[in-house]
Amino acid sequence: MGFLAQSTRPAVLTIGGQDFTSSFVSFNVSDTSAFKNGLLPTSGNLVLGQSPGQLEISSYSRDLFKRGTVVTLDMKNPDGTIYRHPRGYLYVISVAYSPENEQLDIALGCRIALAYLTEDVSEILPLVPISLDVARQTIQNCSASFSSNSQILYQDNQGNLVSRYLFGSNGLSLPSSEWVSILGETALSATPLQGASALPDVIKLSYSFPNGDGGLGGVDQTGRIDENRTLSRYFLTYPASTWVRKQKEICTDTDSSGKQVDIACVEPLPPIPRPIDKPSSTCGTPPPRPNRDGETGNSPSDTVPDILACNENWETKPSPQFMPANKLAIERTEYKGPSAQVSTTEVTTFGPAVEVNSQYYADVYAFCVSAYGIYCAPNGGCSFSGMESIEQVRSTTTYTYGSSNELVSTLQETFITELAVAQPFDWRSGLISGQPQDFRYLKADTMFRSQVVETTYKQSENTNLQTTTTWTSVATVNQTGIDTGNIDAMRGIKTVTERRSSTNIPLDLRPDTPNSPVTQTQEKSTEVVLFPSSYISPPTEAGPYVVDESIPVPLRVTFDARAGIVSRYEAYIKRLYQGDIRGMQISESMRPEIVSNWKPNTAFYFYDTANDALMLMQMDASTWGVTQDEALFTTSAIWIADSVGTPTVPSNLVGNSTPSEDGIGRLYGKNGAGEPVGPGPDPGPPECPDCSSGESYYEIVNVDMTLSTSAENYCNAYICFPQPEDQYPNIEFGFTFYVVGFIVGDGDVLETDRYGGLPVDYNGSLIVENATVVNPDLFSSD
Amino acid sequence: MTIASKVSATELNALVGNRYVDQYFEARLLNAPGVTYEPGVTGDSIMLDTEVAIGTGGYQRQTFGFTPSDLGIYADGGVPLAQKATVFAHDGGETPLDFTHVAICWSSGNVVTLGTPSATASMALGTYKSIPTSTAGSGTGLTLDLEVTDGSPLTYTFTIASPGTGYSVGDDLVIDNSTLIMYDPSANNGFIIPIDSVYTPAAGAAAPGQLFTVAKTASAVSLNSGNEAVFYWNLKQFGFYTTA
Repeated sequence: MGFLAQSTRPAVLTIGGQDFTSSFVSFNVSDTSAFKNGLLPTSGNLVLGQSPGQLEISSYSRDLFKRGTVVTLDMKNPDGTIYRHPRGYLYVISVAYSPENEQLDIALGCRIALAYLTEDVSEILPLVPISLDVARQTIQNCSASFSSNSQILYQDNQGNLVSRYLFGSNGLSLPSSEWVSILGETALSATPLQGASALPDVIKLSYSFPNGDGGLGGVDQTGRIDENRTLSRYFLTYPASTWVRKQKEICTDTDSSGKQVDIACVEPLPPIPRPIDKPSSTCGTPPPRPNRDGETGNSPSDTVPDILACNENWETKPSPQFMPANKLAIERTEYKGPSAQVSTTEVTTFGPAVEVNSQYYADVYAFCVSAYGIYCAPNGGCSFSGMESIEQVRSTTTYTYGSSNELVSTLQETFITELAVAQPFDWRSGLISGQPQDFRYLKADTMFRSQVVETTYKQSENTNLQTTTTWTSVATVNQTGIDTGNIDAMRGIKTVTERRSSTNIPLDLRPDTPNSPVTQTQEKSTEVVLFPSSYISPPTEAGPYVVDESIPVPLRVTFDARAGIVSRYEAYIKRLYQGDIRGMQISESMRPEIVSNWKPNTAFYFYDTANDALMLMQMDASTWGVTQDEALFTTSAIWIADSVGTPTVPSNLVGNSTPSEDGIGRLYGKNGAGEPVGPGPDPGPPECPDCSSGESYYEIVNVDMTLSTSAENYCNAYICFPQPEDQYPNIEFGFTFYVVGFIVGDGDVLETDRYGGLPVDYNGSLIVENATVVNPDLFSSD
Repeated sequence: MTIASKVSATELNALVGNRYVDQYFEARLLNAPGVTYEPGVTGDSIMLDTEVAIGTGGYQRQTFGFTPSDLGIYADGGVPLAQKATVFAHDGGETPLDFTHVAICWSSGNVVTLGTPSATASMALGTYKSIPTSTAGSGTGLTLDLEVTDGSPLTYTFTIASPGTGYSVGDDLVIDNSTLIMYDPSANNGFIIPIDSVYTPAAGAAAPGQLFTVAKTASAVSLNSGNEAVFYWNLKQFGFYTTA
């Protein structure tokens, strides 16, 4: 009695739909380990040999089979049934013909292997369990997304992409065994997966997630409008010539002999101004001093003494005027372009009108002073016009984008006030074009378009071309003033510049976009205990051995989902480490119970009969080999849990297996003259119906303990008694009675106990609720 | 330089325990307007002579005592005793209860244990709290709790609610039927309960009625209309030195 591991053989091999079974030599493919890998590509090679009369396989040009051609491999069981090899649906990646041995080596791979080759993740991206930022949508990050969620993605033997949790049905539970491997019976070999590598005691697991409220981050900001305002407060010097009257000091006197002598400087008597004639002056020249008594002119009265003349002991001096001013700059940016790029920007500056044309306001002031200024009032009471706030300049830029979201052109228009470009002849009096003109007051708030700049960007013959067309108003360029017709920029001076560049350096900066390329994240960590007692100390260096791990991708999920992912990943990384350390590399024949409904993480029981050790294992990184005569596989099984139970091994060695020899040398079965009897019905695979597995958990429980002390004053009806323990008197050796007293209404006091004490359930107060307080403190004078 | 050495917790514990535990005290109201008690200057007896006359406005001395469980744990450089309270209730009559000081004196004649009642009333089952008593002796203020439990015959158990003051061993406590009817209208007869033991300060400790402490109210107090004056007392023995 015993169990014979019966091999299967290749049945049908097709490449691109053509049958190449007769050319089949070998088939060797391997699955990638799921150790921190989410995507499990399968790759390997198929070898075909040239047989006479068969399809031609020589291909020096290496293009006999194009990449992506489907290769299928079907197998035949000993009972004659046909099934698809677990890895029997792959694609051609490349071919190489070896003329020396007339064999064609075909590199194979699954769809995931092809995706790694081409980095085309379009079919995988919709399947990732944790969404990725646009900038992170690579094949490697797709794999990380699956592993972060403790999942794997593989291609089955029908060409479908299948995702599932690596461990159990939900990433946390123990997987169920689907077949049994018995050392010495079914297992062709079993060796340790790892050497004597150190066992980590703890895994420090970190993970990141979007900043903020735990949302998904990376929200499209298209349509956003930003507005920045900058307000400046400062002083400016008014451009006009202004004057002040300053009192002279008298520092000399005349002695009795009429001689001038120096004396201590004294202030003269205050002046008493008197009306004088309206003087005439030109701009920037102080008005003439008034006439003294007796002088010719319009002296108001001969009876007015000299001392009363406003120029007596006074002088007129220039004095700059400092005026408070505000300037407001508003920068408004609209992000309505594709991918939330800037669509328009507008910068508007508001400030005092005097800043746009100081000469004009200086003349306005001087004109006023010339009309109203007198020696005693040299400024003539003229106001400082132009200090009102106006819109000084406005600049708008419009961005235009192409079909690929590239910047095509920008159009910048600048508006300024007409006053800014006005020239003195626009306002001063005199003869203008032969016509007499009085002083002309200008409006400060009339705007016109002073400049237009259009910039276009294009590529031509591998050359970046930037064309800038500028239209500038003649009033700005030629200082023609504001009365020379249409001063709009489009009627002004046009200049065009072109810049060509063949470098890959962009000609202009790409406009801003508020869309962040990647989500801003924050990081947290947790600890997973693997083997808490795997070392002794001293020496202190022996442990603990802490391994740093991290969940590969930011968890752009909700808070609750994040908790689930972290919890699963803790179990995932723990099982991977523990399972890898205790893992076994096991070779088996391709028995039907293994290959039917196979998946990369199929669990099974491994039983060591010699040591009576039973454990639950899980297939990982299997290597499949098929020749014309047999088919085997080796899996790097990871340990899941120790188990209890007794596997049963049925005997499939039945029938006439003890041949005898007749007289003429022929072999016969023991049942007589017939042919040897073959094996009977398949008794079924090894099973372990009563096996069960357990799992150990180690948890680090941090108990935060705090101790707080609170002093409570039991108060009722606003009556509190002092807490002597809270007092810190300067006492060397003391003894005291503290007493507090109060008066409440009739019946508002509870009884003390026999010894005058306060029962505990009174909470330190004898006063009933809603007591009437007559005197809350008998010992207080307040 | 002379410094004060710190007194051990054990010593403080002993000081407080030996001196005050198992001792009874009584609070008295004094009416001494304008008087400030200065220990060593003001005569204690003179001060106590200003006590409000017993019965004025319902005035009665109030007693309290310290038991071993009242001895606190050494903390903050001292050993405290549990807080005690005394309540003076005006009788609601016309006469006010006027006072200016409250004093604590060593007490005596506080009933500690009772004898077996010699006359037994019949009362309904239940617990009756703070039943006043009278005596032919000089004691006042004793109140009893009575618990009537089922049985044949019924069991009457008295416990001391307030130990009173001034009692003597052998005095009989009387609870007459008129008093019991206020608690149980079906009560008949009354109780006569002998006093088995009373508290008396140990020899050499303190004399009965010896003044302990005096506290002066901020102003003269006139208690009337049935109002109640409550005083909380906290005694603590410090034995530390600090400049804090």
